[in-house]
Amino acid sequence: MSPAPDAILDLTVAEMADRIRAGETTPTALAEGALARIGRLDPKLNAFVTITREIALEQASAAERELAAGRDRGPFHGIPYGAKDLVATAGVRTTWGASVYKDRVFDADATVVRKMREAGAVLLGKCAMIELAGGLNYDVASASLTGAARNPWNTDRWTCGSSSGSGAAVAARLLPAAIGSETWGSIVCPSSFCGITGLRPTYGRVSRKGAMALSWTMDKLGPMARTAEDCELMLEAMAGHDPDDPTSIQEPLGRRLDLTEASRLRVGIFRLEKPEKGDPALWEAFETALEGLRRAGVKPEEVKLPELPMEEAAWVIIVAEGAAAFESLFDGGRIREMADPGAPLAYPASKLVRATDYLKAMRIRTAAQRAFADHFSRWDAIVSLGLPFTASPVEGKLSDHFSGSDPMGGSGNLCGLPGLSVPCGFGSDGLPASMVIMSGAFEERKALALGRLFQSVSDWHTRKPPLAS
Amino acid sequence: MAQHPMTRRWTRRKALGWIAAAPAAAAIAPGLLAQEETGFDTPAGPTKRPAVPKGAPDEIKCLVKAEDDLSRKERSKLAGNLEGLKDALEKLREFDLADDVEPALTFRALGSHSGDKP
Repeated sequence: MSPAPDAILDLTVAEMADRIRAGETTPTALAEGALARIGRLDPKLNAFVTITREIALEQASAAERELAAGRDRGPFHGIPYGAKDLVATAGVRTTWGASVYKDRVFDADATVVRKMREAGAVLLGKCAMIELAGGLNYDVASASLTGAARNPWNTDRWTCGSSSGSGAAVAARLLPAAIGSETWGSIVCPSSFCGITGLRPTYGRVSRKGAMALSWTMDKLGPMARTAEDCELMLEAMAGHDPDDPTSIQEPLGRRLDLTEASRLRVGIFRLEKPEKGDPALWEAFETALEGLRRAGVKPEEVKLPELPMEEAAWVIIVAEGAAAFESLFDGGRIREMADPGAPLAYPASKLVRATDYLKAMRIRTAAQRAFADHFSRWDAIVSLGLPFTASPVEGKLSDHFSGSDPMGGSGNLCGLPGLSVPCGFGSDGLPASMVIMSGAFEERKALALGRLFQSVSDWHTRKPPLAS
Repeated sequence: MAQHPMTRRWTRRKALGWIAAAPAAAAIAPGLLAQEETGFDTPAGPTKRPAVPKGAPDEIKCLVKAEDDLSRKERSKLAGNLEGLKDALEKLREFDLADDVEPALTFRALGSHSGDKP
């Protein structure tokens, strides 16, 4: 069968899986088609660090043989995907997005890569990222081994970080899905900027064995795709307790909720404060999204977040843990090899944090967890405008563009809560806007069901960026 | 409950925090950065000493002075970053919690691999 025409690469994971089983395409055709598309478009995007062509064709061929023999590993069998370059891949370099590690090769796959392989997925490449996932401070989009990733909606705009390549590749239809990671914002923000759907799972839901550690108590791996349905399929493949990761949880993922159940979820609305120069079109897009949910039967009500210094606590925890995680780079002087000129300041700055501050942040974390446990006994999910702005320019300081606070992201990451970003319209600049859906710990199914419900009554997730058209 | 410190410095810091996934000292303090070439304490002596912004808290002055590997420009930026971080730390330090709110840490004793017990 000839390589997949680009139209097939527009399909979602679920649709591709159906086409494979209907005999309308094959894993090899999908892989070859995606590789050709990557070759054509990636030079404009910088979405990949490494293309794993040989592995992809070998895995696609194996999937084809297994499916022909009647062994079906599930919806990801034969489906192409990418992995953020902070998860280890045996025999393929894993750079963590940093020049310091540009030639490093691990001899074993990360658990999440192994699980995707066992689900029959086909690894097409390692996705570009901000160096060390932003763990040492950055203020430029080019703070990456591969330079700035560019947004398929406008290549003069950035994808956000740190899962930059995962966002660009999925939005441009180079891949239907990719692994991302989030410590604070690194799945949600690229998903929002790139107009795709991304899930930050509950802390511990996905094993981090073989993944770069930036913040031991806040790092999460999660799926980035074009729909909530695909994120759910990918989470089912990625999730599960791993004895090699002591922080991975035993809680079962539970069953998938249907759309009728989703329409009955108790949904709270959190109103994100509009910054002085905020684009009103984003707040209008969120209101329109709420109308869509109401039409689907949801009866959302206003809600407030717990009044605790949660963003401050999250920040202090990441400052302390990030400095500890990368201490050797400072001790060895290699910090000067980082692309962002501000990186050498991260460790010295961390010295302001006392042990008592870290413990206080961890106590506030406890208080916040208790408060959210109470919140999510009354609400199944809380929805909010995802970000108060659209994609920033590639050039210039990021701090000149980003404004406002992130109460949903700060509190959700502090407490290890799942958050789903779904496209919900466009800003006045024509760039994607997003809604974020947060649910209680271990309750990804609720956020995902609400996301599927929203996407059943809206079509923002089907919109294609100009580069992908 | 106390309110968030919505200073300009803290607001900008937070914005950088969450794009970065790890804010680690991403704070930018425009007011302090503007003092880059003027307004610093530069002690006289045969060797040029680290620049420290006038008016900075002693703790910050001390930390900045200790960073001999940083350039003058980096020190001034570090001072700004520290000011932003200090805002967040003060917020945490001033926040009252009941004594029974323990830190979200996990530790448990680890038995020997043999599992032998008397």
